[in-house]
Amino acid sequence: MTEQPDNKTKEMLLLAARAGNFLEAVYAASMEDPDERSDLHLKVAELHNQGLVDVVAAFEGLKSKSVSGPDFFLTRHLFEKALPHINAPVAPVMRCVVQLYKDAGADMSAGMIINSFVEFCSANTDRPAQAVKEIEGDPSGLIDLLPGSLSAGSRFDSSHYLTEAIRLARSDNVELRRRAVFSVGQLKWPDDKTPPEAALEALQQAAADESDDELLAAVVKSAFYLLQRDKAQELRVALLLESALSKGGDSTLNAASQIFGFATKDIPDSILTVLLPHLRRIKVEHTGTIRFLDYGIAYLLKEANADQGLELLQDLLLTYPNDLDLQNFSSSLTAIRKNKALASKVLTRWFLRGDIALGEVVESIVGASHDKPMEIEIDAAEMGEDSAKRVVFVARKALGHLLFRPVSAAGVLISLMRFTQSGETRDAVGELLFEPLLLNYTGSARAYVERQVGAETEAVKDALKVVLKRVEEYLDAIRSIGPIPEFHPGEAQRQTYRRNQSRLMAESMKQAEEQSPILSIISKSVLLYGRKSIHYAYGPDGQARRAETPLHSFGTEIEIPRYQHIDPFILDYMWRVLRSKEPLE
Amino acid sequence: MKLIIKEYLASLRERDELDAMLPDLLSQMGFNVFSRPARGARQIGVDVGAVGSLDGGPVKVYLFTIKPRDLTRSSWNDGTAQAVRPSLDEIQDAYIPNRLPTEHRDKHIVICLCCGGDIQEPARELWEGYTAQRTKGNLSFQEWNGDRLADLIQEHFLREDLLPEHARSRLRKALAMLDEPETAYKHFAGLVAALSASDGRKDADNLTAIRQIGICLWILFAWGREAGNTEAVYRSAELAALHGWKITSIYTEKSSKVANAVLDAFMAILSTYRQVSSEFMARNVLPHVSKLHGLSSAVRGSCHLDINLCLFDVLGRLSIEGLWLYWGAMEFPDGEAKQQAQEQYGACMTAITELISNNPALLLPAKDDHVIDLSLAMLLLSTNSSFVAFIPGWLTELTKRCRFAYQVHGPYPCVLDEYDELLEHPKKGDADYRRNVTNGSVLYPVIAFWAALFDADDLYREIQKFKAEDLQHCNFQFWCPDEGSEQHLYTASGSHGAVLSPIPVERPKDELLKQIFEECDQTPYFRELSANRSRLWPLILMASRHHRLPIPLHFFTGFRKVKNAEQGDTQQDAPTESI
Repeated sequence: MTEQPDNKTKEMLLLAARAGNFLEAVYAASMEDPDERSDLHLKVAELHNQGLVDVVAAFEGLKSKSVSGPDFFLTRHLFEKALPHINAPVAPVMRCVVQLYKDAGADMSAGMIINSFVEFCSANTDRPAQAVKEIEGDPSGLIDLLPGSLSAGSRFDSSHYLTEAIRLARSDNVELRRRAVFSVGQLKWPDDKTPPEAALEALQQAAADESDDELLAAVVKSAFYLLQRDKAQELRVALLLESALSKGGDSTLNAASQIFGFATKDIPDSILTVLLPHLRRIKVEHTGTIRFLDYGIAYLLKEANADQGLELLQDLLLTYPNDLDLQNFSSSLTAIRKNKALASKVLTRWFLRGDIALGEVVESIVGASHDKPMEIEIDAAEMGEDSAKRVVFVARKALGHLLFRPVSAAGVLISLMRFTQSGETRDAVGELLFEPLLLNYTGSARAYVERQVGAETEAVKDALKVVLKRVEEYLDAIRSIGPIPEFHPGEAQRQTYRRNQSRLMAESMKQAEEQSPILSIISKSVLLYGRKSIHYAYGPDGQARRAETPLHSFGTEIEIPRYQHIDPFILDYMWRVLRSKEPLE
Repeated sequence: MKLIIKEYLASLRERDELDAMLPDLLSQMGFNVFSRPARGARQIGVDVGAVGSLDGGPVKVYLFTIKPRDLTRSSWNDGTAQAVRPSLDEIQDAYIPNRLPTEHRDKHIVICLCCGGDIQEPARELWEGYTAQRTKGNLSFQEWNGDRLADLIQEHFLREDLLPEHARSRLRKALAMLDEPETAYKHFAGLVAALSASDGRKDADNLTAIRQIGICLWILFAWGREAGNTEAVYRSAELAALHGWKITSIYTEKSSKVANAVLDAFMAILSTYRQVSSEFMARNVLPHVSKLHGLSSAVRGSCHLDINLCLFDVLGRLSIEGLWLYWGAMEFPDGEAKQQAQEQYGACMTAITELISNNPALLLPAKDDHVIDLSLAMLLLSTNSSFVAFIPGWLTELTKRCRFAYQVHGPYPCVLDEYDELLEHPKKGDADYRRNVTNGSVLYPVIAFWAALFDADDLYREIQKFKAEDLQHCNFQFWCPDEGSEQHLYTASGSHGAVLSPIPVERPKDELLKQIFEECDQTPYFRELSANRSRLWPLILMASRHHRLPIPLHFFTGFRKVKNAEQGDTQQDAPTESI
């Protein structure tokens, strides 16, 4: 950048500062450089360092809820970049940073300013100590900056700042103790050194002495961070975690779930063994915590130990059969769905259990695919014993939970027919394949079975052919009847039904639109005629450009079970009975 | 209108159709019909014989040989007994010398070829040559083709002063809308209502009116058959029979000439109704009852409600058909007709059990008023020990489904009647709504009554439990005729009848039966219904079905007598006296 533009920018900002709209000018200048290629933040830092503008004081006045002021986050971001380059006393910087941090509320980027503060403190050896002193003087106002201050200081003298952290971990003020314990895990150590013994001892002491939930959560996090630096401490850390988790509450569990969710690959088996039983205690209303579990379970299912992940998922589902929102397990369920062998295993295991909650999850897994039905089978190893009771039990569960996914249900039933060596059992499953499945779905499921016949063993092939023949005979009998106009509903009834359906579809559409995130942020225009839209858009140059957008039609096909019309009662009743909790043994 | 009538005539078949219409037409023209078509008896070429004056001319004897549709060269003399020329020969050779009533032997005789269509050109030469050779002093020949018949029908039944334009317009509209049965029926019903308004009318006018109903019904039937949709015809035939009875009931205890003519005209309408019903069942129902979900699929409804409504209607119609056959089996004299009725009655009951077994919609009524169709089926099946055993299983499954559906806010039977309301039914989870739409019932007390009568104790307990645990708010009730029923039952011209409630199903079954039968015994209104007195009791059931009133439980009193007589054993055929 040339000198002249630099001066122009600084002059503009200086003038703005004098006019009382420094922040607006900063925001406007940053908008002119959306890709952040300029060094505007350095200019801002220079203005402060040259004593021309008290930038820190100016940014302390930035409010998130200002109606007419500059955008809070975008303007704050400029300060985040400038702060490490600013020379200013620690105290006002701390007040400014705390103000900007708290005003950001629950936004995910709220903590970014803290990182900038750490960089600020790291630029001068005295600043961390000054910051710690300020915090001790005003813990209620500045406590959030303690971990960052200690972390910054540890870059200069890790031992000293560990000592500080341990000292503060014994403070009378619980807030100080919480942050201090957390800081133990945030300290920076030289690459060639492991954390000293005193760090782990401090955490062990805290775990033993403390009962505060947030403090114990900090113990859990710090202990894990220390383990990352010193793998030899695995056993001690395991005991430490067990101690903290046994005493801790929701915050401690949340901390453990974060580790489980985001650092799963780094968790040794011994630690996992400690964590998993406690993670089952998580309250279902803590959806954020649940989501962390989901990430961790998904990782276990995909990469490491699928059985452990499955057991945890199963236990959670059984503990909270009616309260868990499956949307919070999207990662886990996706992991199962994408792994056919795993999906078969899950399906078989959970159908054998007979629990409705588990069956519903299988439904969710199988039903997530909207374009192509999921072709799925049982897992022979999970089935275990080939007994008529077990085979028919799983067949009934498959029908109960997959009745509205006919191809998937057919796949399971055929695989059961393949699994069993007993002709009688095979016939029993074949009977279920005939009714209710193929009698209800003479389209897609029948086509699937016909495709599968050729690939099966002789015994299964014969059984399937018998079933298909019965279906064909059933349909032939119905086709042989021909039209009987006397039985057809009259025009008045047809029109009433159409109006009723039209109303229901409109209501359903409205509800769906209300839940769509896209539709809630865009505006909608209705085109009454034609098959394409022509519109003019104005560019930055003010010129109008014509654009044509052809319209497309979308359609979908749903196969409705035949019994929905012929005998809806038995469809409903059968669905309930087949799904009901009935233990195999 | 003439074209409509010609179309109708051209489609008539000989047996029970063209030869059934002609005597009425001749009677209406003032002729004295001394010979009517008869099954089984040798006719020696003459299907109808009448004597009278045509167009004011001299009184002559008219001997009709009837051939359906067009007369062709082949049907003139194809070597079969039904060929025209042999029939004409038989009339001259055998009928006139041996069968002609003595009092008419001195009159001029006209042998008439009556066909529903025309004499085709290849046959005309033959006809004209034949008749020219044989015409002599006291014997001549006439051609009564479809065109002439249509003129006579118009002249004697449908002219303006007999059938005003607005009534003929209704007939035309009914014929035009046969593909929309509801609309066609409404128009025909309007026509029938106008014709059957007999208050203060002369006897001759009543006679004309009932014949007009018959002719119009036949026209509708012929057109419906050609159109391939006899739904409106069926309903119209029921209505015509009921309105016809309304007129006829005035004359049942008279013995005048006009009374007999009215009765004959009514029996013609009844015969038409029976034919319509029989053909309806033979074409649409009986061949398909054995097919799993066959008739359910044939409804082609948009939703399960369409199937439910249609199948219960079919059940009711099939039951009525069976009850008429049972009546025939009881009432006909020994002979072919009686035997045929007995066979068909058995086939009907088999068909009902298959209909129910293969169409599960019949295990859960959508409406409480489906008790009417249920009761008809129960009544019919109860007349035979081989079939009465089917009923407990059916009603038990039905009751269980009703109860389960009620408990889970499923499609339980309700008192709603309008289609749009039934589409919305049920409102899931709304207990107030559920109470409102089940605030009265005839269905469950009828099931309880049957269970009590036939000692189906488990079924009776099932109803008791349902009432006690779920339906405390529901007023169990029965309907019975009262003094106004005779006037209004057949034509639904006004409100009538009384309701017996609450029905104490919580009491032991013997107490329930005692209360009901005492009520039946004490009130004379059922016994005094004209249809009952005339031994045409199926008309009462028809009226119940058509106008959607519960059937009087008096029909079951016969089973009580059997039960008492056999000391509790009801497993035998019903008595031969009326049910």
